[in-house]
Amino acid sequence: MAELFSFLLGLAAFYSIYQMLALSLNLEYGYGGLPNFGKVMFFAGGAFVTGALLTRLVALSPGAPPDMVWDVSKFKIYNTLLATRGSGYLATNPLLALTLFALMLILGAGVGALLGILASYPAVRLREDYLGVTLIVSGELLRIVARNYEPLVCGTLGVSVPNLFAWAGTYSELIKVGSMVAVSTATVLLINIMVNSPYGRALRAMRDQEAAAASLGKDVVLLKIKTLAVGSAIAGAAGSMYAMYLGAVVADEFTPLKTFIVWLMVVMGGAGNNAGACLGALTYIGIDRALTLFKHLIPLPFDVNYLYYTVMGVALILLLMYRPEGILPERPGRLYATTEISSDSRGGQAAPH
Amino acid sequence: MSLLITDGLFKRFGGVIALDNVSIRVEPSSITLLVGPNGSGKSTLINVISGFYKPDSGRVFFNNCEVTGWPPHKLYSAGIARTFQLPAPFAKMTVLENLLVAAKWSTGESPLTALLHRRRWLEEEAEHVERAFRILELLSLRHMWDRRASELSGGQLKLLELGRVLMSSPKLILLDEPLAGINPRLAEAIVKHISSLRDELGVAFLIVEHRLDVIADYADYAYAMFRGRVIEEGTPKQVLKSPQVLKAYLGG
Repeated sequence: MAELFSFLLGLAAFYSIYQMLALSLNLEYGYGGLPNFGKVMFFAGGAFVTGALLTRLVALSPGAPPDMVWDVSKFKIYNTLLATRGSGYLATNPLLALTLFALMLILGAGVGALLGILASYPAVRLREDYLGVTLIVSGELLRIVARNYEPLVCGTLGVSVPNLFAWAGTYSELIKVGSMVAVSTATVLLINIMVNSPYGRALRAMRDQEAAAASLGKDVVLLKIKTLAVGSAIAGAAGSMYAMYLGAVVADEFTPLKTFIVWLMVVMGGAGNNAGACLGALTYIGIDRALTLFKHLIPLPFDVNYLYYTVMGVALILLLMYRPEGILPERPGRLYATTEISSDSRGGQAAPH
Repeated sequence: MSLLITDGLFKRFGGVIALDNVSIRVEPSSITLLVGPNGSGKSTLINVISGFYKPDSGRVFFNNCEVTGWPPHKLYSAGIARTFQLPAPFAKMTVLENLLVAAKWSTGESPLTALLHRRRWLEEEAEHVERAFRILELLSLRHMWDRRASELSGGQLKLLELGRVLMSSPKLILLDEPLAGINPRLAEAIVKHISSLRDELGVAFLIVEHRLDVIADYADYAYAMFRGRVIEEGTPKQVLKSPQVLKAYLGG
């Protein structure tokens, strides 16, 4: 029973993180047609800023020796100690802990947005395929900088992050995951309003026919910049949440594979449909977690990790063969107007008039 | 005062001179025809006026204001709208949505205003939907309003293109071969729509078209182009009878 419970908590935690990533990619690619193959960079940006700042910030308040915080060679050794002390301190100060949780999300989003605006520089100048290649490469850039520049997240060693929910005692994990689910759900609501607005319509127009969208008054350059900023801000916040959930940030974890996992979710679920992107994330995380939990029960003549790639690969191929638009394909935009339309039939039949 | 004036436009693509000192005028509330054989620079001229190409030299004035080199979206808000020779619908969006995209939104077109000014753009939405249905009615497309644009026939796509540009009440509409591939009866209907828009709403049109039999009677003025130059101008009848134009079209 306890095992099932912790399995479900883990599922919910990973789902809420990947739901945000999938939604942000769906906004950029599904609605806006921007092939963001550098998703991991913005995710990593949020995680790195949290890893670089949170332990140091918390260590300052209970009065750790300043050289342990600011001297990189010492911080590398003592950051786990500092994080543990910080968790203990925050256990007595839930208000500060929650403020820090919110602050880190905002910082993560801010760093994500900045990186997104940076990435939009090539995005508005390159055609789709070249842009994809450029973004894959830039996604790797940030990881390589972080693993070699130790002051950021202690290079290859990684950095510990204090637990911001230690004050909840035995319910710590539950409340932590509950907060993550809340943040992720808020993102769903915000994105849904965004895509069902004139903005969302302009995005889809740009995706379908960029020249026509420009000729009909859409500033496509500005639209791309804003969209990459918003999408990357969401990815950054997700990265920050990921760091706070795991309690550690290791630069080398943020490889392009993460980008492709998010792509898989969006393509499987249905690009251009938010419900599809969420369902894609749930399907993926469900399979992923279940395989992790039950892998010791499956007798295999090979490494179980290969099973996992095989299952995902086969699922993707089958889906692209039989449902190329994803499990939940794109639907027409939401209609707000009332009287004019209700007199017509909405079913797609020719209305007599 | 003319609505649109181009003054000595030059445009070169590598070794080809697509526009060679092209100066034309379009009067308000008129239909101006642009004729000439394939490759004579008509579409290039439309692309320069609508901001898709920058001219190598020469200037474009619209409504007493120099607009040379403005990007397309800025020209659209200034009042110049265009259609494309090959229809360019937003294929995955419905007919109604195709029109709504083209409306002039005062708010809600950026991620932040979409969230913060929701009430305001929802009010606007109601007005735009009403206007869109009036336009669909006018173009006999109303019954198709909730179909995806990809389901429309070629002729209906041409009508959709026209409907989109009407959403913003432009002062000048550039039509690149609006009748190409349209059956004679529908072509006649489109031309009648265009002339009634000119008469009732005061819209000016600059139209590239080869189907002169259908459109010449409705046009107020015409320019003929050949190899990047304007070779003749005047009333459509004068231009079409000009020996130079006949020679350009028929060769010899």
